[in-house]
Amino acid sequence: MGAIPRFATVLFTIAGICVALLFMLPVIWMLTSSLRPNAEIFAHFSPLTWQSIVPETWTLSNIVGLLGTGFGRSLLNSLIVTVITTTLGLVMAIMAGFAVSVLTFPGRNVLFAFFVVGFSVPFDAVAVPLSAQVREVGLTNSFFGLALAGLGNGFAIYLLRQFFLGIPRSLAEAARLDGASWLRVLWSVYLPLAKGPIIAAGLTLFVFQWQAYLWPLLVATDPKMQVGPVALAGLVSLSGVIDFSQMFAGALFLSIVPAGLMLWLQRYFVSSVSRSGMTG
Amino acid sequence: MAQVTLRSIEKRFGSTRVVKGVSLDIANGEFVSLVGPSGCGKSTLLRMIAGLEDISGGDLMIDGRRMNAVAAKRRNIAMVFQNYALYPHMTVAENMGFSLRIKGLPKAEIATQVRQAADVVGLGDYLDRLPRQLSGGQRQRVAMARAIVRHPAAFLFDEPLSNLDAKLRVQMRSEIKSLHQRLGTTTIYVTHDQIEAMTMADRIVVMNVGEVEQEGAPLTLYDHPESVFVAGFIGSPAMNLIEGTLSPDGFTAGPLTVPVRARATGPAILGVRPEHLILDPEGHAATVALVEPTGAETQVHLDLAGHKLTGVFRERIADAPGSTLHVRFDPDRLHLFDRETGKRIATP
Ligand SMILES: Nc1ncnc2c1ncn2[C@@H]1O[C@H](COP(=O)(O)OP(=O)(O)O)[C@@H](O)[C@H]1O
Ligand SMILES: [Mg+2]
Repeated sequence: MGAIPRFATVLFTIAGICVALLFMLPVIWMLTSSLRPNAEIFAHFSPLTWQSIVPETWTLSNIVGLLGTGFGRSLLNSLIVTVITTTLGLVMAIMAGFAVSVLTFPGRNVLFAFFVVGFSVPFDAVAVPLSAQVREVGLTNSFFGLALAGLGNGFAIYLLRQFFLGIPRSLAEAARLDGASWLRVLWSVYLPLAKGPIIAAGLTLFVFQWQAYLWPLLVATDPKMQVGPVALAGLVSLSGVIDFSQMFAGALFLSIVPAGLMLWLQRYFVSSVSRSGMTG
Repeated sequence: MAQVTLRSIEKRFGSTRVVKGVSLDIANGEFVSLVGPSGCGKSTLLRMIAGLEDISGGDLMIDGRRMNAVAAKRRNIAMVFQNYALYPHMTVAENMGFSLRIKGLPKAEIATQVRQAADVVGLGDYLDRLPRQLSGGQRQRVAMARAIVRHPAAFLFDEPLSNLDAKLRVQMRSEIKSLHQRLGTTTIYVTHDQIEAMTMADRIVVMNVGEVEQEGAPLTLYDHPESVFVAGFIGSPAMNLIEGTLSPDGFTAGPLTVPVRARATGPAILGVRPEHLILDPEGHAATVALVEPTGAETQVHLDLAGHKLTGVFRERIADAPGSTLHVRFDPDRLHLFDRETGKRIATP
């Protein structure tokens, strides 16, 4: 006894590390490619050797060059727009999710159906006419205009509604009898219980905005208002030749933010799962 | 404290009438219990009083003021829910202090009042616990303390003991009752358990399919049920009900004839409580089906001329199933009901 499980544990750990490394490979490739000269990237591409991912020459010139194209500004724009989308969008999704799950009013389910239908329409299909409207009201090249398309997120609403529905109604009723307004019920009872789903909804909003390409392309015509993904694509046409190492460096910057965010939020996911147990 | 008056209160869910014109006067400081079988509209009525459910018709008055359109949070009514509805992320103290915090009371004042209320229900040592760290009985107490701390106009209870085990239920029953005696707050207590209602309430309101069947003091309901429904619902073991016919000769059901003083004739139901069966060698012969001694008394299931009856006797009875026992009915304790309307037939 004991020996076999330990042996199995070792085996599973080794297998786990191998799988993890396989998944990590493209990320590592991106990382090292951004730190080697452009010419080197494809020199060792086929066949795959250890040199495919380990540079012969280490250099920061790609990153310096990238920042020279104004990429830093674009990254900052991305950050600003995404923060706007995530905060405003989360507030809206929470309110909407609360309304269609806890409040009772005529047409509640119809309203919810609208939200769901809204998010099942492919965004790309409506982006062009929508951007024309944004142009008409003069929001082109503004952060708010950039954030606008991502604010209403049907999936985030759906996610929160489902969670709110699982909270016993009597909690809201008890709070009402305790003198709480509906806003107070939401703030003091529902939100503290919904940390996990709120983070999930926030990530949905974040990712939607962070990787958005079409909408920013349509709405931000001024290069100063360009966001990261658009700037990254712009590297191709600007220099004529495709500088892959600069693109890798850009992709790296664009990945660091969401990756860091996920790592930071991970513990909240874990704690929210272990803290649940509504009736228990 | 408050006086609560219902005038022809109605509740409709869509086209379904769930509460059908209920009128009640609840005096200041009274403990009233609403009882009735599951689904008869007790919770709905209570929730309308609390303001959690819109009132479809009639008037709700609290201290003479019409409350139909007043929001729940302005009615100053506290409710204890069946599942306690404690805020899971708040400690006992925070649960109790929530209403005071909303009122904007200073922190120190809240702490004092929370401590006082916690002491009333014996929760002083648990103020920092979360609800999930408490037993069922303790959660029940927190729910009560949360109501007490507000000094509300009235307490509403909706089957507060149904999630507790039998022993705790009996204990909490007397705790709630003594709490009411100490605080004197108007209390409306909903239960489907008639024993709870009998033991706790000053007055019982028996409901049946959305209507008040009868109201009165517990023993009045027990001694003078106005309908077959109340007769069968109040009392445990339940009253024996025998279907038969009233004629000038008395009440007959097959070979069984019971002399009664009633002027009415026609299809009727004879009611007799188990403790009003008397052992008498001159009585009707009945076959013993089952004997259940509880020590203080003996409960015997009998077959009397094809009617299944239950008797409760002070005597210790050791007769085996199948043997014969002679019983008669206490003539002063018989109840007669009209078989068509279910209403009580007067016996002069
Ligand atoms: N929100 C609702 N919508 C439709 N019917 C309801 C609703 N709430 C309760 N009812 C119905 O009203 C009746 C009375 O319910 P309730 O007051 O909960 O009964 P009780 O508390 O006496 O068991 C039941 O038949 C129930 O199905
Ligand atoms: Mg009920």
